[in-house]
Order: sequence, then C-alpha cells, then structure tokens
Amino acid sequence: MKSVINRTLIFTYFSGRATALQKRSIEEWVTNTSNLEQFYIWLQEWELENLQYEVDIDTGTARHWQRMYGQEASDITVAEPESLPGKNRFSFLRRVNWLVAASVLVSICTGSWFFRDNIRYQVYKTDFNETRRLELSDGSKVVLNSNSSLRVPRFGFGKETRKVLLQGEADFDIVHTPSHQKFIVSTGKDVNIVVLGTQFNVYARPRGTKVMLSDGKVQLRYQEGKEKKMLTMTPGDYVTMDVYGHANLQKTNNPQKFTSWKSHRFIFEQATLQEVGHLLEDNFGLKVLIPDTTLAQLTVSGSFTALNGEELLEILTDDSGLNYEKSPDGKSITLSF
Amino acid sequence: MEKAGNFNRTEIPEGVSMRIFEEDGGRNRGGNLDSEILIRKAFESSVNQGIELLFKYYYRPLCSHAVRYVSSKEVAEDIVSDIFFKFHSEQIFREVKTSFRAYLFTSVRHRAFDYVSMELKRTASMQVAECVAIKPEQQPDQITQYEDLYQDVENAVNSLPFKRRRIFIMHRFEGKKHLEIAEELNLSLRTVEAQMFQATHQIRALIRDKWFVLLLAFMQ
Repeated sequence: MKSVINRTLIFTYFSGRATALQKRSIEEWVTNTSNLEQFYIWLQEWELENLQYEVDIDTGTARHWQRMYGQEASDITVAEPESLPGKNRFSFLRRVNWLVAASVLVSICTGSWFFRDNIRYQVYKTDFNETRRLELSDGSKVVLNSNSSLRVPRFGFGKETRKVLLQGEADFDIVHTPSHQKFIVSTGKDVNIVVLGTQFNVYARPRGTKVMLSDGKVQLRYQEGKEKKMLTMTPGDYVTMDVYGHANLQKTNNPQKFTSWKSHRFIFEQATLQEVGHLLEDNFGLKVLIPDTTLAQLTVSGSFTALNGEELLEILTDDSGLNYEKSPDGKSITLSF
Repeated sequence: MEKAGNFNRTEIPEGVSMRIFEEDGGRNRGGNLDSEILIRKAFESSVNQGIELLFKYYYRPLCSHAVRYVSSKEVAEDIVSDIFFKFHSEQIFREVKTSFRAYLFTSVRHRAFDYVSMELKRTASMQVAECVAIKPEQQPDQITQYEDLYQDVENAVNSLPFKRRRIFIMHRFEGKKHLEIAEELNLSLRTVEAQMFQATHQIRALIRDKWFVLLLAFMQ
C-alpha cells in the first residue's frame, strides 16, 4: 500500500491523528533527503499555525546576544552601517522634501498638458501616494488610486451618455439609472468598459490594462490589432490586457486583492519582486532597480499595510534581510541581497 | 546595561505574514533548500545578521515545538537558546549540509528527547533499571517516535484530573511559583505541592510505561 504524502496528511500526523499505516509510509517517505527537508518545512508551518504560546522573539534574541557577547552586547548593532552600506534610513524631513519635489515636478510636467482639457473636463487627479474618493453627479462613487487621473465631461455628463476617461487605477461603484443609461470608462487605449450598474476595478497604466469585476456585469470593448473585439465579464472575472491589446480573461477567488489599495493594504500572492517594483513605480513614482536577476524572480506572498512606498519597501526588506539603496536624486531605489 | 532595543527592527504590523519563496518554491520540490537563500546571503555579509534572521524565522516555531515535549516554557526556551548558542559559537552554520531549518528542528527534537529521558531516568527506581535489557538498536531512528513522544506527553497532561492539570500548567507552563498558585487558586501551599507531586508522578508513570526502554537506551 502506498499512501500519498501531502501537507494534509503530515498535519494530521503532527496533531496525533495519523494511523499506524500512515506513520509507516511517512517513515519511508522521510528517508529521502529532500522529503525530509519538506517534512521540516511543514513542521515549521504547522507549529506557526498551532503555536503553543506567544513566544517573544525579542527576549530570545536579547538573551542570545547576551550569551554570545556578554556585557558588550549593547554595543553591537546588527544593522551596522559599515557592514550594510546599502541600508539607508531617511529622516522625516528629507522624505517630505523629496515628496514635495516629486509632486512639483509632476505638476509642472503634466499641468500644461492637462490645461487644454480643463475647460471641457473636470479633472480629478491624485499624486503619488494619494488616494481620493469622489462622488460623481449621477451618484456613482469612484476611488482614485495614486498617480491617476479621471476626467469627467463638464457638459452633458449624465444626459446623453456617462463617459469618463481614466488614466491610472480606480475602483468604480456605478449607480444604475432608471433609464438604463450606460456608463463608459475609457482608458484611452482603444479600451472601453461599458456598464449599466456595477462595481469594478480598472487599472490602466502604460504597462497594460487590468479590469476586475466584483459585482454586476460589464462589457469590455477593445481593439486587438485592427479587429474590434468585445468581451462580457461576470463577477469574479478579471481581464489583463498587454500593450498589444491582447486580452486574457481569468477568474479570481480573491477579489479583495485588486481593491486592497483603497485601504492602503498591499496583497501579494507569489508576486515577484519585479512586480512589486512595478507597483511602487505606478503608485509612488519610485523606480525600483533589481540588478540581480535571481533576486528579481524571488516571490513575495502576504498582505502588508503601508502608507507609502518606502514604508512598504522597509517592511519587505526588513523581514527578508534585503538591502535597499536610494539614488541621490531620490527617484530610484536599488534592491540587493 | 542590556540594550535589547538595538536588535529590534521596525515592528511588523499585526496580522502580517510573509514568506519569500524561490520561484519554484510553490511546487515544494527541489527549491526547498534554496528557500533559505536569503538567510545564507545574510550570513555571507554578516553572521549576526544571519543569526537574527534565523531567530526571526525559526525561534517561535522551535520554542513551540520544544514545549510539547518538556511542558515547560522555561525549559523549552533554554533548549532553543542552547541550540542557537552552539550554532553560533561553534560556527555550525558554516558546515551544515541540510537546511538551517532541518538542522535546528532536528537538534531541538534530540535535545527535548534527551530531556524527557533524563527526567525519567532521574526518577526511575534502580529495580526497574536493572530489569531492563538495553538494546542499542532501539535508539530512536524513526522520525515518528519524536511525534509519538510529544503526543504521549500531551495526552498524559490531558489525562490529569482537572484541578491537578490546572496547577501543573500554571507551574510548569506559565512558570508560576507554588505560593503564587496557592494564592491565586485559594488553596494551601501544601495542597499545591501535593498536587504537583501527584501530577509529575502520574505523567512520568504514563510515559515510562511506553518509553522507558527506548529512552534509557537512547541515553547510553
């Protein structure tokens, strides 16, 4: 008899509910070294899920340094600047300066371009590191993510059509009108999202377009090459479109993942550091460089609360022992081991 | 003055969990060893930093694991502390062939096993000891014996009458003094002491029935 050794069986075994036969097959299974490694990975996971008591790591580490270095322990800092040249802690003041500089720059660059549209459109805009809640004249609610803009026509909105233009990322909660008037989100890249009344998240940035539908029904009208295409989405669907206009429809069972940014949460499921870097660039204007390709492919899972890019980066690097270094102009960050 | 604060990094917000995998780590094969790549890199740049990461990742599950055998928070933390001390001071991190995780867990399990058998031996009567023929081939070579042991300890503790179990846990697990327990439960000091004695005896008796031969052999 050969039973399949998996996480569930091993967890059953750890909690003392495995049969004699199952124990026998586990004994055989662990004679293989890589299985034995897996066994300890699961043991660690199981212990973390079933901690016998709240263990205090700080007391444990303090005791260890005391034992290792005795009285001098207080002079040793783990994150010694000499040993970790990359680690940079910024003073609050410098951070503020940098943000001011960044937002001024953004305003100068984009301001003139937007000016044209200002007459025709009411423009709602967010800076890096800013989200904004809006209510449109028809009662629809929009939450605008960082570094995004939403243009709503000053004239005629809600009369003939309800059409808005989005750059960046936003979450929509659209009111269904008695006249079944369509609401259209245009991303300006030959992609229009046509809806009646529904809740969905749109991401439209240079790297591609993503639409996630939480509730209701939407139609995605887009252009692939020369062809006009249409796709109907149902709740839980999400569509990613690459820069060539190729659409890919998938289901998600974790819709919160797409809208967690509304509450300053970042949820990653096996996201590579590269992808995390893109997120920082999109939302906080931080360019993240990862010279080491192995490192760029390491993945991160979990959910994090952070109010700004650097806070997120700090949590991530702190937990993993990575280093980050900010360029002198503060616009880019280099991640390294 | 001990300044533990130096070693504290920024607190991670509550409820945060993070794992870093190699790209193929999710498939649970092959990539296992490499999931410690960050710790190994940390060791390359600074030993202290590597040790700190080991604490971060493994200290909690290791203590939690040890306490299942020894049913005392204090003893469990002593065991884990000893292992980290040895690991660091003898520079074992330079020579381990397995993952650090496997090394640390195996060491904790051995040490905890040792501790239980010491306790039993200390209380075993000479008569019993003489009757037992020690067979070296009975050393715990099967991994499942480790799980069996802590599960038996757990069951033994659970089999104590309610009041006795409560006193036992307060003393062994929470590290409270007999007198404190007496005051808290409104009992006489004598009662607490008697209950503790009974509890220890009862547990040992239960463990000994099954484990004596093996644990004794293990000690040789």
